[in-house]
Amino acid sequence: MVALVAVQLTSMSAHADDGDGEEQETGLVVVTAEPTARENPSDAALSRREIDAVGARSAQDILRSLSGIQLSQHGSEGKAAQFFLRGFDAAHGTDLTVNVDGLTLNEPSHVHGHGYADVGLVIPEAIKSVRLRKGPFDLDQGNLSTAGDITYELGVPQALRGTAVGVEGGLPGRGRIWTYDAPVDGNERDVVAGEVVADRGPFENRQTRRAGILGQKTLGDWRLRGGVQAAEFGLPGALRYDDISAGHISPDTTYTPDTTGRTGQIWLGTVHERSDDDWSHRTSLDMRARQFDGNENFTGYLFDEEHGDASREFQQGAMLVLSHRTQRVLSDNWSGVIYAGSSVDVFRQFADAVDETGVAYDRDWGGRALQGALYVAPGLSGFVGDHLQLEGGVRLEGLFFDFREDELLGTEQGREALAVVAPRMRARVFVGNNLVIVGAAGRGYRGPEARVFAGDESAPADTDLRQHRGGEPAVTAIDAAELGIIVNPSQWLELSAGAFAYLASGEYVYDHVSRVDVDLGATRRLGAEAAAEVELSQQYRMRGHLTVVDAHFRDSGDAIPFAPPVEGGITGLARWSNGLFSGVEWRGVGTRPLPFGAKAAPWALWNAHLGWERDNLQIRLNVDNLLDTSWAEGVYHYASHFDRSQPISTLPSVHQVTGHPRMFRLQLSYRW
Amino acid sequence: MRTALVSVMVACVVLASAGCGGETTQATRVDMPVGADGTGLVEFDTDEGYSVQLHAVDMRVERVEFTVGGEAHNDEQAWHQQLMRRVVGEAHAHPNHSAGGEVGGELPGPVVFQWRPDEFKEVGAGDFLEADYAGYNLVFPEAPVDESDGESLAVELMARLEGVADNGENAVEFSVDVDLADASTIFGGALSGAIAGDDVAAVGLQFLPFDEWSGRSIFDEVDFSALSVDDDGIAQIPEGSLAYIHIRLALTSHEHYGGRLLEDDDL
Repeated sequence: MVALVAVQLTSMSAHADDGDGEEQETGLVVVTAEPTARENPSDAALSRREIDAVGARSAQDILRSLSGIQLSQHGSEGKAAQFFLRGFDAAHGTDLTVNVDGLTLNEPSHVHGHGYADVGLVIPEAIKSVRLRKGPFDLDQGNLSTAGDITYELGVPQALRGTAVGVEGGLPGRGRIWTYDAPVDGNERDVVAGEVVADRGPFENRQTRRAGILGQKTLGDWRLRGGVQAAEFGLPGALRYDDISAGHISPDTTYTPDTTGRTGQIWLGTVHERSDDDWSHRTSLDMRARQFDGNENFTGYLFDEEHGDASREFQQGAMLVLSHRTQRVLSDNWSGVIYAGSSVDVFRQFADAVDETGVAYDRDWGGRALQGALYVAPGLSGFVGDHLQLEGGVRLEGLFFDFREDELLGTEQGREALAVVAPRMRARVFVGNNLVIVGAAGRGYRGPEARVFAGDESAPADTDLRQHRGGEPAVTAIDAAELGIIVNPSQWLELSAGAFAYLASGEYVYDHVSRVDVDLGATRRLGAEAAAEVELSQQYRMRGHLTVVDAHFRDSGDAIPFAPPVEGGITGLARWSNGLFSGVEWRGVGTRPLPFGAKAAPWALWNAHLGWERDNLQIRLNVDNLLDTSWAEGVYHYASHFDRSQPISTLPSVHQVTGHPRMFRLQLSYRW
Repeated sequence: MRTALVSVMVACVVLASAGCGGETTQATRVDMPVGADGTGLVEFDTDEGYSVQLHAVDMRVERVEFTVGGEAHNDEQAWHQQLMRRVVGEAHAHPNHSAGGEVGGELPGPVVFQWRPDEFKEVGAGDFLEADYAGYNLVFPEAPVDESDGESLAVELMARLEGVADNGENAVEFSVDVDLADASTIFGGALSGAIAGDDVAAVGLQFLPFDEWSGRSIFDEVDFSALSVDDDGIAQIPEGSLAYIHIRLALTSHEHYGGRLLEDDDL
């Protein structure tokens, strides 16, 4: 029974197994997780061993190897990626939260995008595991976790502890130096890591320069953690597909060679954890200050023929986050948990129209805001008989907003409080020792951005109600359910499969460029996903996944644009006793629907690596896009006007961000 | 078993790779004549007791934008619900942020619409993406600014209306020129229907001097009998007069603009 309770508590904890086969404290008991053990069929996780095998360029790049999620970078390393998951175009984090050890990195009212999640603070070598949960089925999933959430867990597993240093050089011009120190006799969560990256980028204006330090130290029941990071990067915008097709512009160039961005952030936090036989608690307090300053031009001279449409977006702010979890054993079969917490985010933001030299000539909008959240989420978990595990609860969250418009623009001020009730539940049926059936249901939610509350109270006469109608600021609630199985027919094979559904009666998305709260109407997403992990022998492993989703607006029947209906991937890894290791990864995305019936081409990429390791010395060669496939990493549909010799057309057209060509990276590292 | 499973996975990759060879495709475009549909120029009554018949309405516009409604547009919402919805500004295109409804067709200009009763007069060739359309916008050029005094200047005539107003005692032939140079854009002319393939022969934009829904006419509060008459016996409505202001205000309201998708028999 103790083992069963341990399973319960693990499943209700925000900190699940690290997927590395090593012991981990859950706060109440110690469990041993198998390398590929998953609580839910839809979960995806990478252990440190698997992260190292990926050989990622950045912490953000690691996420591309999680099953079921696709990333698109329409800037350069340093800007947050665009996420696609289960039929959601989650933009920069609108429907997907990204956390580091429980601290959510999403900025709910960022100047550049709703829920903007900049993971530049995270250093790959300081991560013990990364985990993707799909669906809003757990009580610790808050605002913006409508499609799911990702958690980086800081630390270094015992096998890799020590001091390490690595250097990476790549073509066409990349250099990266990293180091970490993780004392051998220290806690697995303790690590201090740093990195410096300079990359010319594969194409024009895709360069990046960034550096950061990240660390965590355990002191008894307390943990101190923090980091600092800065980045400077190119923002190339997107290219008109018809210009590329007609040969008017090369796919490796940009219309805007001088538009760039800068970010910086500081994180300081503490965690207190205690437990005894019947209860455990975890309390964290984090402060994160950050700044974003970016200049982009996606539309050329469409709206301003004289100066161009470039916009400088700026945000500066600080966030204070308090979160608490208490778990308590209530009986032999039942335990309870309460999550509670609050956050306060104070920030200033503006968007200026700038000319070709970057000089501002008009302020489009701007303001100062205080935004916060307060939540409590009680739940129960327990066994009914020996084979049925139930868990459930309800998350109650209040969101409050106070936005004051920039004094240059006016005196509008908006203050509002919204509330949401989000029930969550899950059932697991254990059939024998090798089969688990899991069903879950829950409500996810996405609060509006703060600036929407400073808008007009009603539509002025003769404004465009048909083209871009706003909506009353509201919390978007999306109800979701999934049913799946995990099968372990043998020690060397794990299979999982499931089906999922998301229903939204009305999706409100804040268009951060226009300040319009766009009501997108009711949507539904129905899909299925499957994954397999095969240990062919001690030397060879394979894993693969496939996700198929049908995502439509319910009124019109039109496909939800941009989100891929089909995506999948397969990875094969080999490691021989003589120290050689290699791997090959295939990732593919099917044809994606765009507005007005346009379609984005499917793509498939191969990545490979080959390396050798001996006595803590490792050398490896990574080849990204092995076959030098031409592909579009990002595809969009909007009007633009870059060729000023031609008349302006307001008709939308396909634009693309060209995916990188074949690139080589040589990595050398040593640990002692 | 292991070999079979790996074979299946590899076969999946091969098949999937083969299926990833498609091309990006643009939205299907349709060229369609756009013209002035004069079926809206019917006789109507004003609040001053005049029965008015317009003989000619000419209007110069910079371009016409045809719009789709976006997913939120549906007929279930009452007008006051729609009015209460927040609209702050025009959405500029940006990756991932234009799915709420947007321009899908256009008639480049400048062009002059000439409405004549029961006539269709083609104005130009519109360029449409296949879609269900819900409205259109009339875009006017911005007036240049006279740097000497900073005031807007009308550089040319934008609209001319000619007709006869009859109150039962007196029939007044009239003409009015209206400067719309700084009107910017009239949003939301009504046009509903799908443009795809060869189903539609032309798009006719209507000028509706009387709005059935509001009961307002474009000449409300205009006393035609009080207007001064020129040497040709035509009553004039001078710029800046109260009547002129009323007419100009009404002309820039979307409720006086409608549209139809025309088939061959309508032309």
